[in-house]
Amino acid sequence: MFMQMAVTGLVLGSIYMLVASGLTLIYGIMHQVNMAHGVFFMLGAMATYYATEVIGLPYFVALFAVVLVFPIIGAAFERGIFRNIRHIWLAGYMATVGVWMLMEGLGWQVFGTEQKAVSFPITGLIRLPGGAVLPANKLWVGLIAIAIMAGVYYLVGRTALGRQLRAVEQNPRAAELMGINADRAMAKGFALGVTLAALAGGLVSTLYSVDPSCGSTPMLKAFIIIILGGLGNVTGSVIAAYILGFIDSFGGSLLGYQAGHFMGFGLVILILIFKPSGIMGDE
Amino acid sequence: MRISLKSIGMTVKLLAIVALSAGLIMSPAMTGGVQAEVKKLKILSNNPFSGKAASWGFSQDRGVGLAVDKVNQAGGIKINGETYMWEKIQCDNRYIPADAVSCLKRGVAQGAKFMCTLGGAVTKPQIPLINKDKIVTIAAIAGGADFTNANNKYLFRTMPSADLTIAIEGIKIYKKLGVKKLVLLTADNVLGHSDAKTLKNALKVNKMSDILVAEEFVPIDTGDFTPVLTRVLAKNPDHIEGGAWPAAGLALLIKQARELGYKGTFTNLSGAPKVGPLVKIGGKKNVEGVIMLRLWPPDQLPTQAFKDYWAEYRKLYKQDPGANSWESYMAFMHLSAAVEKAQSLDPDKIVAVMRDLKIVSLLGELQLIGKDNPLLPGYGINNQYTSPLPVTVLKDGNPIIYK
Repeated sequence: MFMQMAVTGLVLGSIYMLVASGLTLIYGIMHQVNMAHGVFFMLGAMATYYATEVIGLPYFVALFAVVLVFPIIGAAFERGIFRNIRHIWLAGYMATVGVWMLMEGLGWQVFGTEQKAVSFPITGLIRLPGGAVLPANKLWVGLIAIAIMAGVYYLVGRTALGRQLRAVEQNPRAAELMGINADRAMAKGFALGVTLAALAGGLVSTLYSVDPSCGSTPMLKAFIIIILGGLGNVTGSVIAAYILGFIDSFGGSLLGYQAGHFMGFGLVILILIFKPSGIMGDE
Repeated sequence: MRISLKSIGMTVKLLAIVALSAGLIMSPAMTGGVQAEVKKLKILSNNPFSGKAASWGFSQDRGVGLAVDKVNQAGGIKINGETYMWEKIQCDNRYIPADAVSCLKRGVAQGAKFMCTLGGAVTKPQIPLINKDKIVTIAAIAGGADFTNANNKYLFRTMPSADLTIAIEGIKIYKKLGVKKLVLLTADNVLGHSDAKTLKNALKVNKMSDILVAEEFVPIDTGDFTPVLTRVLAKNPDHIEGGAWPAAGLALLIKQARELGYKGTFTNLSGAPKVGPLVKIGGKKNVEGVIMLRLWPPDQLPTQAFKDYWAEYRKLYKQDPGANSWESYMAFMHLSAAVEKAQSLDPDKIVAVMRDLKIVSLLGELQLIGKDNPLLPGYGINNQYTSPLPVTVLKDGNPIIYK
């Protein structure tokens, strides 16, 4: 049972990490809470469903299509809605709440009411020592999530775009004085965050079901993670995702679902009391 | 001949004036004709149209919608010489109790005197308002005497209660399967807890309490059951009762239990999940042998009227109807007939007629039961619809009648 709990915790942590990564990035760069994050998760899951189950594209081709299309959607969203109001925190927040409500409601009309499923091309069970089992699709989703996060680290830490994003995050005005177009950098950052959300949707859709509300619960988890890890801190959110994954697994298995849930939220409250900036957040 | 833009504009204006004048001349006011005033009877569809229970909500809403259209197309209903047409107004309660109460208040403010809703979890907090405002309500709720009792005379249950599904049919199924270690893993809401209470009582009455080795409650929007399944599978159950899950929840529960190596059987006695999504999400092999109540196999529909309903639903919505749709369709037809028979909009007169009125509907004769019925302890009032209760089992991805 211990081994099973540990494996489940690792897999859940990897999934949570992926879901929270886009939200962390957007907050880190723009200091704005994106309440529509779950919508992009849902749209990514829906796009993957239609590409694979309706059009018949191979799964990984569909996922690649998500990577190509969603930066455009993210950039359009940033330019059309977010850019003009982002300096007013509450307006930006309410705009993203509006998009969330609108898109979820529209989703039920456009995508229909039946819950959908996306098949992962690799199936089967992996038997681990200690009697634990790991479904192959969960293993692969976890590994891909880790690879994506490694890619995000590289992009933010080692590329010209990453330097621009970090500069804008630290001081947009100073970044502009250094010749960086802050608006453009923020649009790119937002597009990247949206793409990560959509990619998470496309991957996680193979484990659970897909419907227009399927982004709401992951978004809630993502918020817990970014608060726990330190708002906008990518490393902090990775650590927080695994902590939450292990709490959900060990708490749910040993004490029951409610106790696990209580422990997760309890930890957030404790951290907010003793270290309001989160595990890795700056004081 | 030269045609200028100006002359075209003049012609358009002239045509518009002629059309407007013709409209005025033909209008009832100008001709002196008097059209009979058609009045509206509003029914509030207080259902989840988003969230994990949305499939239930759409199913019920569509069933009532088809019934509303049917009555209206037949000329509506006549009360004391006046014609009334039904109008359905919708409100999305997201399967959240507070939202359901808000929806009811909004519906009452919009003039709704009737309501359809579903789920014990969201119906329970509405009951004080239903009673206070005398809203004649048809509701798909499991539960038991907590809902159907002499104090709740405006609340009519469209589906069989847990006292029939779990306490009667459930126990029969467990005995037939020879269940030795039973786990209840259901939704953490009023319905789930009510199901658990009924199940434990029924097991006690049948001297089977020792077979229940675990009961767990998780939120209805749970996606990953692995932690809680790890916990309950440690008890080595041979049967899992799902209780009250919509299709996606039940499918994920079954799929993840199979992935963890569970080889036993499943029942889902309250939820009546739609078979299509259950098979697609859960996987045909995983859901093989799942036993459910209230679901009719499409090729074993018992009456022609039901076959026609099924075909109409499929034509309109491109999917098979769920149990909530035909149960609410039948209940609404009964309600509408009762309003016409009562020849009054007084809720007390309407509900009195409803309790005695029998109509022939999709599954044969439809009537209300509950009073003096030994199977329905504590009800004391005829507020529960009764119709044949099929028990189905999934074979090769399709439901067939379980013998």
